[in-house]
This record gives sequence, structure tokens and C-alpha cells, in this order.
Amino acid sequence: MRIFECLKCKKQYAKLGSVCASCLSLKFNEVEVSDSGKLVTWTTIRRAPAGFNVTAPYDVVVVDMECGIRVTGRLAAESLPPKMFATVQRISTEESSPIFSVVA
Amino acid sequence: MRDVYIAGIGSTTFGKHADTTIENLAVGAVVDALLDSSIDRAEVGALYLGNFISGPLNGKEVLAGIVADRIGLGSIPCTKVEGACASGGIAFRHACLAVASGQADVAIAVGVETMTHAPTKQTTAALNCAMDNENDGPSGLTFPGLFGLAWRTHAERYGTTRDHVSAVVKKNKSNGLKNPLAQMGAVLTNAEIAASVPICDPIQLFDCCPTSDGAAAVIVVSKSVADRISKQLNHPLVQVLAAVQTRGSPSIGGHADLISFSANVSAANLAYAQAGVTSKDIDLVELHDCFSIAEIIDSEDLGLVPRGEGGYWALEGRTSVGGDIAINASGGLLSKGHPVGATGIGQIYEVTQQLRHRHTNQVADAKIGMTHNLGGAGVACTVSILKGLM
Repeated sequence: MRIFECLKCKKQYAKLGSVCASCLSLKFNEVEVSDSGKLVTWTTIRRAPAGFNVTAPYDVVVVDMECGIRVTGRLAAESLPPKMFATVQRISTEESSPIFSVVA
Repeated sequence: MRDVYIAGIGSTTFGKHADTTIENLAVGAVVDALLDSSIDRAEVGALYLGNFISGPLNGKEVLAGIVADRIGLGSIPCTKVEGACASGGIAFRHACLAVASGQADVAIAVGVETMTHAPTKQTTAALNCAMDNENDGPSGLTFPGLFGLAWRTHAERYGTTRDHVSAVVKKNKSNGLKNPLAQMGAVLTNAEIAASVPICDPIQLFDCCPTSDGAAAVIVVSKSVADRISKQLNHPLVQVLAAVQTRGSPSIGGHADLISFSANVSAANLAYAQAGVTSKDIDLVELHDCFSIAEIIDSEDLGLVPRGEGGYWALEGRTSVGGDIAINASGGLLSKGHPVGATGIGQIYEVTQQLRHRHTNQVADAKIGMTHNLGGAGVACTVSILKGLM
């Protein structure tokens, strides 16, 4: 998984912003980190937002990545069912949302 | 800073107002509040209007100036403020600041929203604009979903069950039956709640506040004005001991813990310090129960209920009128309704009625009340502490 790291203070971000909120530096490095993480919580969305191009139901998950950042993503339709604190792996990215699968 | 008092309040019913424009809803609430205060409109020095989505839903902006124009206010500063669901609370704080700072001796805070005028899809899409749509939105998350995530964490950590959360739903729906302004009071059973339509597991239909139209307004005044009008009023004044606003993370990744919102905690701590009271002094609170689990989380964040025990207190009746701390005697957002921009001012209206000892679901001998209004995914929070001068 590619994330963004402030060149000056090393704070990490899932999405590239224009400035580091920690030190106001304008420069970031794109770095590769592990796709593995821990599922913190999840919900099954049964009514998708208007205009969202994925058919409900689907599971939205919050994942603490191994690198230390917390991201919001979606569970792949073919994944094993979600479970609190399960190990998950990012398997793709769809329209800027990480897609995860529960590791058996 | 100068002392600030609530001299007048007004509110429409919350629910469907299909034939009334958004500005006329606000005008009705403001006129009622002015009449309640006995203050001449020529004395008004500032107007703040809380609203979230009048642009996308009604095609109308500059609402603060429009409302002021409709009621013939002078050439005064009129400002619309926006903080998603906390817009009303923010408008109230700004009106208080205008008086406290000496910029005005009389200020109006009004909140308004019409959500049923647009198709449901348009309304839900507009509401989702309050999400961090760079970080959380792309996953397909919705606001009910955010609180589904929080509920699961709370349940895992503290053993909060469907029955605990249903106790909140039953209490607030039942309280709503006693409030003539409420949209949908009801007597519900655990079985009916558990059988309601799943929305975002574990959130079900009865765990969600309805979409609503409505407006509420408050007139705040300086001590000199309060002293002058106090004998003309047919109700006691209410003093604003604290009106604070804080910021939290706009996105889930920025929250250290999904069973707490940092903006809630910081706003409560600041408000207690500003008011010179503790959570033990609060007789009642109107807090932001946009979803049933939110009431449990908020009550813990505000220090009114021990951490992790919100569900247990609800189940034991300790948050009912007559319990340890009366939470949402009005019915809350779940039952009274949630016309987003009006909600924070509606809470001030309800607590003021309680502190005047004139509420239809009165908390006995209420002296000090609190309001709590939360916006977005916890990005904006206002907490106010009010004292009745009986």
C-alpha cells in the first residue's frame, strides 16, 4: 500500500494533502508500506449513499495498518466475514478506497 | 466578558412543513422569540443563523440577511454559520459572543432546515457532504454507518447490547409523546425495535432520527437589558453560564478511540470550567442523539455517566425524567426530530423551558441545564450550560 510521509517530520498520511498538519511542511515522500492490518470495527451498509456505485449490502471496515495509520475501507465481497481484531490484507483500491480481505 | 441572558425563545413544531418556505419557518420562530422577550426589534444588534444545506436542498443562501429583511431588522450584521449538525449550537454561541463582547446588547440566534422538501436521495446526498469525503466517503460509508462502527466498538469493550440501546430508543420516543413540538413520539417494545428494518448493522430504523423541517430562535441580551425588561416578562430569565465550541477530527482515522469524540470531551471540560460547575450540578441535558448509540457515547463523553455505563444507566432508568440525570426529556433528535440547522437552537429552547419550570415533561426543580450539539464525524461540537433565575 502506498502512503505519504512528510519529508520533515515523518508523519504519515493515507491521502496526500497540500501541507503536513503536524509541521506545515509542503514536501512528502510516497512510500510503500505493508498491506496488512488489524480490523478495528465494521458495519454492514444496507442502504448505499446516493450515487455510490457499489450495490448494498457491503461491509465498511476501519483498519489499523501495520505502519500505524488508521484507514477506512471496504471489505471485498468475496472476503471471509468480518470479525473484531481479525488480520486483514489490502487486496486492491477502488475509486481511492482500500479494499480489504480477512486473512484466514 | 459581559454576562449573557436568554430573554426570549420561539420554535415551530419539528416535522413536515411542506407548504412553508425555509425563510418563513425561520421568520416564525424569530417573531415568536421576539414577542416572548418583549424586546423591540429596533434594539437587535446582530443575527446569527444556523443552517447546513439550504443551498443544495432549497437553492437558497444568504438566509441570515433574508430572514432579517423579512422582519424589518436594521442595517445590522447578519451571518449564516455552518457546522453540519452543530450549526444551530454555533449560531447560539456567536450570538452570546456578540453580547458578551459588547458588540451588541441584543442578539438573535436562529436555526432552520427544511429536509422534506427535497427527494430523499437528494437529502441524504447533501447530508453526506458533512463526511470527510477524501478519507471516509470513498468507502461507501454513511452517517448511520459511522455510528454502526461506534456501536460495535462500544459493545466489544463494554458489553453494550441491543436491549441497552433499545432502552434509549424507548425512553426518547416515550418522552416525545409529552412534547407538543415533537415529530414522532411512540411507545415501543424491545421486540418492535429489534424487528425494525436494518440500516447499517447494528443500527436499525428505530435507532435513527427522522428527517425534519423546523426552526427555533433565541433572543440573548446583556445584563443592562435583562435588568430593564425583567419586570415586563411573564417568565424568569435564564443566564448563559457557558457557550463553548471545539473541534475534533473530521475523519475516522483521526479519532483515537471510536467510542468517544474528543470534541465532546474538550467542549464539556471547557464548559464546566467556564460555568464554574461540575457534571454533578447538571439537572438535565439535551444532547445530540442523532442515533441511539450516540446518546450513550455523548453522555459518557460529557462526564454525566461513567465511561462504559451509558447503556446500563438507560436500562436502569437513571437517564429518565426523575432519574439521576434527565437526558433528552424533549424526546431528543430521535423523537423530536432533527431539522439539522435548527437542532442546536431547539435544544436551547427545550432547556430554557425546563429552567422556567414550564416544560410539558418537566424535570422537578431544574436549576442548571446543558445542551450538546455535534457536527459531522465529530469535527464540531458545542456545549452550553444554562442557569434558571427563578
